[in-house]
Amino acid sequence: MSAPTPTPHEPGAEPPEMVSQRAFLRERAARKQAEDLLEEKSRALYLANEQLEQELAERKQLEVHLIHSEKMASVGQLAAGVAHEINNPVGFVTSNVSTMGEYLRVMKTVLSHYEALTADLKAQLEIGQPDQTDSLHSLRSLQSGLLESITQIEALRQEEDLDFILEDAHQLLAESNEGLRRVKDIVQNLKTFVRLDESDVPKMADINQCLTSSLSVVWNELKYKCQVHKDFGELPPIPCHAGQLNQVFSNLFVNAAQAIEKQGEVRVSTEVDDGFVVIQVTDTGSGIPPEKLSKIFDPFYTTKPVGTGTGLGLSISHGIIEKHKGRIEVDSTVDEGTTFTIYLPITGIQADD
Amino acid sequence: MTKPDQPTILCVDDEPNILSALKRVLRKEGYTVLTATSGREGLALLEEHAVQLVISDQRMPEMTGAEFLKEVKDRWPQTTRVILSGYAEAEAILDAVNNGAIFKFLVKPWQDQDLKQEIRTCLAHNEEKAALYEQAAENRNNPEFPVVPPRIWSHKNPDKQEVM
Ligand SMILES: Nc1ncnc2c1ncn2[C@@H]1O[C@H](COP(=O)(O)OP(=O)(O)O)[C@@H](O)[C@H]1O
Ligand SMILES: [Mg+2]
Repeated sequence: MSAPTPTPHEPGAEPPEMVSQRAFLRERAARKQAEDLLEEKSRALYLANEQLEQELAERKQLEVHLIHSEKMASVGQLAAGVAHEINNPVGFVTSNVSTMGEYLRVMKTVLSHYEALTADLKAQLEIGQPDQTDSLHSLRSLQSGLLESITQIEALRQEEDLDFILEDAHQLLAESNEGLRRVKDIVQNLKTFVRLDESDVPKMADINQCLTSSLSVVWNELKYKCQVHKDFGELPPIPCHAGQLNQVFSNLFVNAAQAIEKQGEVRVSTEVDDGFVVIQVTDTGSGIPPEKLSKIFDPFYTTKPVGTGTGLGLSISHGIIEKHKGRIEVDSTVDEGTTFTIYLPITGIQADD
Repeated sequence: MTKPDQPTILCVDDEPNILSALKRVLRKEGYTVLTATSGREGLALLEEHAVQLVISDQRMPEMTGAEFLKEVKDRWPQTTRVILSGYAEAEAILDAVNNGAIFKFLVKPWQDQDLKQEIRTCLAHNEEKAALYEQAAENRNNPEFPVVPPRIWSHKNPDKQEVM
């Protein structure tokens, strides 16, 4: 090293205050570096956390979505049944109303003949003073005219089946009333059923009532194949998302009906046991082989043809019951039938659970 | 099977109120109207009466409309068969058309005037069909009728031919 050194001091010969100064600077730099690193780390952590939260929110959204699309799928499945259930009463009520119009036309025709007859009678009363020989003659002709009108009216009544119409009109109205009541009930039940609990706040609901309205919504899927027995115990109302539970119940009912090939039984029972509302749905259908039991709650697991099965019913149901802090269990024997048991804590769920 | 003066219509629906409504619509139309609340009951009536037109619901317990009409077609091919249904999945319609060999698929709710018109069309179709059956029977008994059926029939066994 031939270059001249500008500093006159040897490194070892530094004055003590300079040494501590340098140490101080070094330490400051190190701390700064550490702080920077920490800040960077925590920023990364913060970002990661934010991303996680976002993912969680997305997941929740997805779950809501999935529940919704399963509901839509099952609604589509149900549409056939409900349309049939509504179009039948609407069919006969519409037709009856138009028949009633026809009946009214007949009644008016007959009535107008009676009115003519009354007018003739009035006329007769007016001429009816038998002073003049002249009027006696006109009375005669009037009388024979009246007689003719009466015969005509009788014939008309006969021809138009007036007696039948008067009798049938009552029957027609009674049947139409029944039809309209049925449509009203179906609409009411559908409304209870799809109560989309978009608000995250659980509401008090009577599980027996939920079961009844779910049953009536899917009734068309069951009534031709299943004898349905209800064995409901006394239940306290519990806080829950009734719309979602209805989805679970109707799923179980439709599954039960679909497991029954020709004729069978479906039994629905409820009771309170050890702080839980216990709901059981039992069918006498095909049953599930033991090796398949662990699969049925998997999403998209289905043994049904496209259009009938989505394979989402039970997996969504499982999610909904879990959300209610409950559990769902299955017990099945091939060729004998299947029982699904749901336990819901009486305490139910709280908001934001 | 002799043809009565007025056509006979059999209506099958598991909903009795639908049957009463149909009877009201057809009251003054000059038909004999029979009703049944199930496929099985309908088959029993067909054994007793000569029926030209069978109108059946699709969704019924035990036997669907398509299953019922399939059996009607096999046992009484001369009948004209239609479905009157509140709703039907494509599958049910296919089944009814392909197996029940139905002439029409009508929907609930219906308009009385339209329904009457449809029924007149069905009965006219049934009359043509009956005439063809008669012609076929005559031809079969006619010694001068060619033993080998003309080309137009040749794709089917003439004994079993069904004229839609
Ligand atoms: N009650 C039952 N009896 C027999 N098998 C059932 C029953 N419930 C469900 N399963 C079986 O579980 C599968 C999944 O059911 P689910 O998730 O509701 O979907 P999907 O009904 O659309 O097939 C069904 O395809 C069926 O094989
Ligand atoms: Mg299902």
